[in-house]
Amino acid sequence: MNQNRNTDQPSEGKNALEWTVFTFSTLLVGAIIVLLGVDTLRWKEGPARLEIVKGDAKTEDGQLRVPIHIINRGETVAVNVTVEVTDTSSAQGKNATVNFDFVPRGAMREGRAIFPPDQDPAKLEARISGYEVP
Amino acid sequence: MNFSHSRSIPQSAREYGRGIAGGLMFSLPLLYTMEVWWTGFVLHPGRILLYILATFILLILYNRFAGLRRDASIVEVAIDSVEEMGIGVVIAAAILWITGRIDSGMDLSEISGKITMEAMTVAIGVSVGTAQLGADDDGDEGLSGDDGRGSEGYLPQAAIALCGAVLFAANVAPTEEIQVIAMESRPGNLLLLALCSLALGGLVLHFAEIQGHHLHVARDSFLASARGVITTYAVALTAGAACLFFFGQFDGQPLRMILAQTIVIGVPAVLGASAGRLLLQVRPPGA
Repeated sequence: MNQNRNTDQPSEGKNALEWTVFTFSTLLVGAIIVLLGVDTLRWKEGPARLEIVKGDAKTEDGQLRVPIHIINRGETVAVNVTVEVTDTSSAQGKNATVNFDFVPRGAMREGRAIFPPDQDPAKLEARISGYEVP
Repeated sequence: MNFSHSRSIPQSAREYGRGIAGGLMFSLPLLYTMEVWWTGFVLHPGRILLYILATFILLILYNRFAGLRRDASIVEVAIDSVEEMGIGVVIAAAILWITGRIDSGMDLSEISGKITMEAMTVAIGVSVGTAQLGADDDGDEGLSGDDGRGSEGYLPQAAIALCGAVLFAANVAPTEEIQVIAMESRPGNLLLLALCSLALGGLVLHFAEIQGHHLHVARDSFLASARGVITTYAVALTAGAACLFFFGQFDGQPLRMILAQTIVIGVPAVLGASAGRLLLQVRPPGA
């Protein structure tokens, strides 16, 4: 070893910074392993269970915007989820579509359905029309 | 515990700085690839755990045979590898957070999955960066002293080739393009790709005279040269297939597609296993 090659004086063995980085890294990697381990043990095969929650509609820029929250309480990721929001007040009611790329297990995603400003939000109904299984 | 290396805090800080630069340099394409974010929540958590284990083994192999402290004990090498993984996790988490890929409203499984899938490649970059981006003043002299002959054996070279192949293959393995090329290629095209990969390996190892080739490439006889090229390609295919498996590209695919994807990823992987392998062992002047 050529410890005197540099002007900085090296200490014996690992220094405080190296021990700090090692301890922090061990805790961090250990926490991730524990988290993934618990997730592995809790893993169950099953379909995605998607739940839609309609938020309070607001009129902005001459449009009625209806917040659509989608929550996946199932065991599988849902891909390309399509939510249709329909006006149920008449047979030829207006409708809007909101698409979500992915809704992972336990996750919530948010989108907006857009309607004309005269639309009554109470008459709107949201339903999932389909999704892909990854 | 006895350590083969001791350094001052400023020296260590500089080494970590090189690691952070290397981690970002070698893995930035993956941090900006959405397919990798998706695998973090699509894959079974058990497979992500396996990915952590595989990366840890790879880091130990690299640190032991080509890294900065090749003369260190296995415990020291393991400590370095854990540090590199920790730094990888911090870098990946920071970049994902800054770019808005993770936030506090997300489920913990989604956050940990995304960070882990990114962090493992960053960790390999940290290891390579620490060893290659400087290190001319640290006094590390390789596995067996100044000439570094300890890493010239067949198996150590295959291990370093594996590291190089993973570093190159991991950057394209999660992308949809690999599946598209594999799906649309005729058998004749796939055969041509395989032959090109072998030729590329031969060109890099025995013709192009890349830095370090005289030290690390066996060329005693035609048989030794052929064995080197074939081993390099086999290692590249193994590394490529492993990357594709860990990024979920084999899921639900028929055997033909699995083979085709492996051949397609074999091209970048063989570059990593040949040119990458030699570059990963380049020692800076004065080291």
